[in-house]
Amino acid sequence: MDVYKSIIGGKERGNGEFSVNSPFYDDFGFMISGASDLAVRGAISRATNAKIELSLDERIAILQKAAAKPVYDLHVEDVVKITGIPIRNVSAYAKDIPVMLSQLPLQIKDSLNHNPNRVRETKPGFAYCVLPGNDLRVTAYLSSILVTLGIPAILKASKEDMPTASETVKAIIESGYPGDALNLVCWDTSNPATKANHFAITDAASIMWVFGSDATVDDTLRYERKITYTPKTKMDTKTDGKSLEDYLNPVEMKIDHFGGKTVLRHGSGRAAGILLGDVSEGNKSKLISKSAFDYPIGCNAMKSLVVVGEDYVDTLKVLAEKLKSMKVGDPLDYSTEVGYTSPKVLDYLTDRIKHLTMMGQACLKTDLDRISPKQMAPILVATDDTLSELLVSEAPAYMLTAIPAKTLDEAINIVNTSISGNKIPHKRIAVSVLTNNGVTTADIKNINAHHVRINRKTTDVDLLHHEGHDYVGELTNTKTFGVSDLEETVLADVPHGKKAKT
Amino acid sequence: MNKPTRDLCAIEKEFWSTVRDNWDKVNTASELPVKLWGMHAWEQLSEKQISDLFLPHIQGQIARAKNHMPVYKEIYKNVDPTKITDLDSFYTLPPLVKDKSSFGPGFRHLVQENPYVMLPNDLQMAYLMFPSGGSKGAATPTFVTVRDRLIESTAFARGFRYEGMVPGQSMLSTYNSSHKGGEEIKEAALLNGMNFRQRGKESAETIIDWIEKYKINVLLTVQGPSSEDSAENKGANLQLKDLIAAGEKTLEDNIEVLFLGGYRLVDEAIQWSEDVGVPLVSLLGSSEAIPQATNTNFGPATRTCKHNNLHLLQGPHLVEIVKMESKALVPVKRGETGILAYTTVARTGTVYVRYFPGDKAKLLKGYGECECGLKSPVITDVMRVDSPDEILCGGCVSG
Repeated sequence: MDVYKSIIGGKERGNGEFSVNSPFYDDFGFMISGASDLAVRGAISRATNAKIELSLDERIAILQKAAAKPVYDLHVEDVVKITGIPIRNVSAYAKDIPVMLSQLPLQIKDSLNHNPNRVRETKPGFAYCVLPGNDLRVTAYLSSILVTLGIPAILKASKEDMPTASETVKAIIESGYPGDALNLVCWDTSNPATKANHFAITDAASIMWVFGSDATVDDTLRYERKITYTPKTKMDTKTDGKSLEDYLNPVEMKIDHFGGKTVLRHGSGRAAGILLGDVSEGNKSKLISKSAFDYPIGCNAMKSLVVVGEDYVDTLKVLAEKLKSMKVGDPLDYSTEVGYTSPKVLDYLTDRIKHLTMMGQACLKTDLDRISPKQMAPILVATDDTLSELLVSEAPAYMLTAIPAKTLDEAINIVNTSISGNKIPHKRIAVSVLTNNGVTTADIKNINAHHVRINRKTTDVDLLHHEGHDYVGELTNTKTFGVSDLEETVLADVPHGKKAKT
Repeated sequence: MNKPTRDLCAIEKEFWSTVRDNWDKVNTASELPVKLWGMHAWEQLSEKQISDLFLPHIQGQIARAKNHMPVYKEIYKNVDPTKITDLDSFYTLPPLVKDKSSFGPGFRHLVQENPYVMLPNDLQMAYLMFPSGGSKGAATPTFVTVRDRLIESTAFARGFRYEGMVPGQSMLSTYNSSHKGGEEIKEAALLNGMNFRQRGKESAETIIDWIEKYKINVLLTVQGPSSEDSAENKGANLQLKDLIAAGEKTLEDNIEVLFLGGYRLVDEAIQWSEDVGVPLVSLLGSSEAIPQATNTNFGPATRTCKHNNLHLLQGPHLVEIVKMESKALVPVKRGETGILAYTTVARTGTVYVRYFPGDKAKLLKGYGECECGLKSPVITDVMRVDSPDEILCGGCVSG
């Protein structure tokens, strides 16, 4: 069985192995040699004291070299067995990795060069990134940004992601990046003792990069709850039969470990689509099915579709046929389009849909075909209840909820409105507007989403501004210098830890 | 800089001459030339050679204990020191135990009323007082003279040589210098020809800075198990973990020997040392008796005596792992687990005879069996036990 280790200071390290087993394939798993307390402190030390004496162009060249390594598809099958996503789609994502490593740095450089009077200096300290595990590209994505900007980092991989994460980090270091500046750690999060390691890194970092809803992140990564005791009254010299607790007030302290740091959050999801016009025209049905079902566990998978106009019923028929035609099978088969889903998720969904349809709050447009405990045919469910829980659902499953709207404005209002009738606390990560007649900015400017795509999938990624972020702006401090026309302006390339040249 | 070599596995030429010239001429072993305890000949002697040398002086210790130390009054009431002339009679001695067990009421309660029950009442010179073993109750004192401490420090230096420390190196210790162990570390380092710096309350960052600026190449510190590293238990002590967080690369680049004190080297420390390539050593000892055992930093990579497998260091104390057999406490056989017991041989201060500190250990290799070349036995799995009754059959030996 393969064993994956943390990579600290350019060396593989590990202590205390734990297993990662596929929820879908009984005979598949791998071992991770978790980073010990001491190794984690080593990573902190390395990242804190890392010296990146490379220019911007040198760092970009390293990433280009890393991009050329033929390693990113080595673990595609592993990812399929862990996630249940069909191999054709995982392979496609794996192909994105070298693109990210090679293209994103150039976009960043272009962004840095945009205003020659502006000097950008990366923020001091190091970044601690807690990777989500549901997308094998994330390690490459974050590494591209951090390496280009010259920010030392500790990446904490999720256990599911360790094979690809390990390969990506090794590739970058082997291409010439200092090992101290890019560290990869992993540990068994089911062991409560490892929490201390997380907070140790958090406290030492100046930049936090986290994924997940606010509620999840705040509860698991940000806040630490401790019980301390304060005396109720002055203690007697003799106990008089009383216990210690009789004298003490337990007080719960909530420590915010993110305080004072630059925090980059990725917490949006619930991508949606707005369909205008005939679904059969153009490739709209294909865009919908790819957005929703290529990678249903991803944050930008389409989960709901607002159908505008009078063709709602026919539209749903066309979509239902499209879904029925999708090949359901073993994710390791390249022809499979619909893979496996967590049995628990399927149990829950089946239950809710049955209940909602029984209550008249939803209508199934496809069969509820549970092929096996871990697989179900893709579901299209319709509702006309704008408050339906299905519209805010982000189930990591092959399910799409449709709802009608009379006009584009009404569709936008539905997209923007949560189950409670208020605006969704966070923007949707992406909304795709699918139309054959075009839309204007004025038409769609009120859509409350980080990304609005016109006739593109919700899963397309804006590398430099994913989820509305301005990575260059958020990870650098900027000064603008005024220079006379007679002086030559030189772009100051400021690697981390070095002084700017003028 | 000299590195330890297999020359450590030879008996020094002057060892036997020093023994011959002095052994039978002194009244107590504490009068023997101090340099004797620093010779690595001790780890080349057989079990019989050691017992032949020690027994006459142990007999003297037993007599002092019986006649001059109140803690032995009860357990030695039926012991005649003149009859302890060989190992068989030595094995019948009742052990000295701190807390109540099948071997008796222990002496902790006596100490709580009067700590001087631990001081031989025939001691005519000034002494140092050191506490020990406060985890189960009040700490008990060990009284030592300056010479007692020097003897132990000299033997400690012997352990340092096995651990790869050589003259000319520079040591930094974060150990508590007010402990007996902390004091003897300093003395042992100097006796070993090493330069020495002691941490006071400086931060981990400052220590890292010192390592760089003062070219420290030997580091002594501690690292307990993670489960004990709770906020409630941190205290002011610096651990290896803190130093790693402050400057792992400095440690990797500068430290040639890392010494961690404590019961055992925790797995993550061992792994860390292997990952960064810094040899990891340790020496077993307690305030009552130092040194007791050490691992080594020389010899074949496949040798047994690495990490938590420790060679006994006989002299100036006799260190045993014992079990109960036919009402006698006898040494365990290879593979067996028994109770750690030690007997001071050259002590003027507090005398310990077959004292149970509250640890158990397993005998891994017998005399002459280790691949490194040292002949003393190798023990492992040193752990605390709440009571010797957990390991031994119980029932006191007859006196």
